[in-house]
Amino acid sequence: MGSFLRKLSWFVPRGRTKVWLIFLLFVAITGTLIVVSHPPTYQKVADAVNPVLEDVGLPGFIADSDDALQLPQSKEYSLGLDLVGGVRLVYDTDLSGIADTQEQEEALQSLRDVIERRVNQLGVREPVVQLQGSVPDTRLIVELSGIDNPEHAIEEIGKTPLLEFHEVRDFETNEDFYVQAVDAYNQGVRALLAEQQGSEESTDQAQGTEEGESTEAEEQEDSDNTTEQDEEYVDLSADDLYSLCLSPSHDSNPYLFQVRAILQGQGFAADPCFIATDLNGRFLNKASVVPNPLTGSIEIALNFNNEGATLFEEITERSIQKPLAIVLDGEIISSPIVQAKLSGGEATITGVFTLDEAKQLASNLNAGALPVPIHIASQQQIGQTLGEESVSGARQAGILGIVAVFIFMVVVYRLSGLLSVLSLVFYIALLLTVIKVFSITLTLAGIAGIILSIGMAVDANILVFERLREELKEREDTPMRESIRRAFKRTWPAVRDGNFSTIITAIILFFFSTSFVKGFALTLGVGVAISMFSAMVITRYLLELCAVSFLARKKWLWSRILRV
Amino acid sequence: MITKLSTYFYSFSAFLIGTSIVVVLYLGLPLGIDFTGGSELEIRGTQDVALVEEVFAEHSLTPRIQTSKIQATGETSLIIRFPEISEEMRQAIVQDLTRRNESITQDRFESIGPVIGNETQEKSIIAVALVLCAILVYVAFAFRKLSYPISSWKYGVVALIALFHDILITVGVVALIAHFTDRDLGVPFIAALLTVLGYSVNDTIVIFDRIRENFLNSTKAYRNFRSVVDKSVRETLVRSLNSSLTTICVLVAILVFGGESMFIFMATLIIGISVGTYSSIALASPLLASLAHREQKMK
Repeated sequence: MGSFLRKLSWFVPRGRTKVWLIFLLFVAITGTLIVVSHPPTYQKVADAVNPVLEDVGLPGFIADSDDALQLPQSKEYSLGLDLVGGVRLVYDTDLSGIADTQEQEEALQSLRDVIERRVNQLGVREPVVQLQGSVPDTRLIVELSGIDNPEHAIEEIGKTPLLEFHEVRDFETNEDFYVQAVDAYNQGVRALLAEQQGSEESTDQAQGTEEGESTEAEEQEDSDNTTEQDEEYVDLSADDLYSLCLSPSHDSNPYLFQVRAILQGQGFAADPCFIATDLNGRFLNKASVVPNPLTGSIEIALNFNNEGATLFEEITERSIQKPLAIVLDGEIISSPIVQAKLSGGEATITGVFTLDEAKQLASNLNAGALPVPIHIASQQQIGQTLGEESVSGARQAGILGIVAVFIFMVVVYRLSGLLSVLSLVFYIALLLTVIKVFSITLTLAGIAGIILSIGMAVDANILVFERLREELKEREDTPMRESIRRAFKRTWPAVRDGNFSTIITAIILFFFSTSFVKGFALTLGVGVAISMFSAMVITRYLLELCAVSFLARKKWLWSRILRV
Repeated sequence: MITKLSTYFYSFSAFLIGTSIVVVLYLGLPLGIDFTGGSELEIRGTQDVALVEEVFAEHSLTPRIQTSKIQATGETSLIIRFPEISEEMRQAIVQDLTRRNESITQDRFESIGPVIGNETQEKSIIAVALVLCAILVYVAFAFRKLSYPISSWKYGVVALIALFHDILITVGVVALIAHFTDRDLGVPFIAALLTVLGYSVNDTIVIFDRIRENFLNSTKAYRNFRSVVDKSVRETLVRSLNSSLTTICVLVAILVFGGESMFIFMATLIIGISVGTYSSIALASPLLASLAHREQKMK
């Protein structure tokens, strides 16, 4: 192509240098667009150019920033769910619990934030979490692309564990309760001891079956100590139990563990020590994972809202030197001893966490704080294999379709057709660059929109060429350039009206708001808008360029079946 | 030429419209889960329809199963449609399937609640109505300079009649295809219909534009609006056919390589664009001439 153009240049009259400059500009721009729109090529160019730019440096030009003269790194096209695989979830929100409209909106915003945090912890690239629709019927949309196991993601998002804070029952006011608990326990232990003596079975087995949840290590510990301790605690008093509850090593205390297990076995439902406070996950703003600066251990920082902060202050005030249990879904996950009254609504959960556990817990806590109940209204899961096949199918379809159009244009419209192919190449490169630069997400429907817009971009060219053919037939003496200008001028209203009607359709389709349709409408609309420019401006310059060369005299070259 | 044959074209179009209406009334529109709510599961690794039916029966579901060929690998996948289920139920079903046959994998799962389905139905109707209105207004506006021999809004009305013609016939043909290939019509079908509207009106506008130009250029035109229409259609005929041909070329490529999810979408576009090209040449233009003829007679 290049050598052909160089040969061509010999025949160009001197006065036409302006047109040539424009043409060279066109080639340069098209080349740049092709490079930019093709990520691997662009990356190669950037890698090659950046060191040179660094060497040159242009001192004085860039005073402060070191990388001001760097080409940005290559950015891949952002592909939609149907091309990379993933999940799209639409949740209904239940706002019936909140009366005030203002509060409803706030609750929805914080719902969005909470879900976003949870989704971010799944490690998905560019997740989408958005609210859709006006307030009472608002939906929450979550899109996660390129994930392997949608089940896990759905579970993580949909799970709404309950976070509660439990305090130790006050002894004065709850003495009856402690007495009842102790009675039940004592009964249980006696029964167990009797059974043990009768069968000579080791206690840990009996306990193991009853407890169900105890780990081996704990059982081991139990069996080492039980005989004496069981005797020691066999006649536990309410006072004993209370002080046991207050013990500083509450979490790791094996006796408490045993007490709970035996009480459970006796069908005693309530926890022997703790009772729920008014403080729960509803008052939590945020939970986050932080390392302790002194010990380096992983902690979870809790941040309460105003109401929660007040409650927390009251609870810590009456729980000084007592344990406070943090309960998730009815399970005590940690029960630190309160050292002082805590105001300000900040608290930390310490414990032996691995980073993953801590992250999981923080995310659970955030979900526990879910301000609005949600449930799945619709979902879409697409496997990665299917996505990959769609991409290769779309690529094949695109290439085949475009090549067919090119061949058709060249065969039917000859030189004009060839020039329109050039302008179509420009058009495709520009469209792809726009899509890439503005990060328009490509879906299968979007690619269909692009391919269709290529088919339609040809339409304006065909209109012009048909008109040119008439001009050439009817006015044989008119100079080529004049004929071309007339053809474009007289075609413009039809092209304008026709394309505008497509753009109107595309805009309405876009607000139709289903993701499949949106992707299609966006690329079709943008494509048609750009195609008008490429057909009416670029093709025209290319035709005029050739019209000033020797080619102008060979009129048969310019359109289909033209005998002049 | 075109105007002389108008009676035949009118009868042919009327016949097609009538047939379409009968087809739709008789067979019904096979609306998919996008509109009715429900679930769709696509799996590969088995062709054993009986096995799938059995597993679904264990969960007391009676599915509709369609086999579909995967272009890229030549494998066969099964598309299974059934009422809306919970995520837990889906996991249980997929687990049961893989237990029976380890090579089964889930390609795609979609589940749509009935509320969203209803909303999509409403939205689709609104979108189609909106596009039709916008086009009527736009065409009337674009041809505002023409008031003789027929008023500019009548260009819009004729374009609209042509569009209704296109929609009705396209819906009829696609309903027939969907019925015989056991496919459903979803949101892509609506998107394709709307695109057909845009494309078809584009086609009509190009011819009307030529009529407008030829009419304004010829001084004797008011005497013979018909011959202006004939001339305009003749002049734009090759353009209309070539444009539609290139577009259809491209669409066929997507139909072949785009996979199952593109099939109805592309089929609708191909049929719609063909019908649209026919209607702008053989229906909209002669209708315009007939209208002008009647108006002149009445004066």
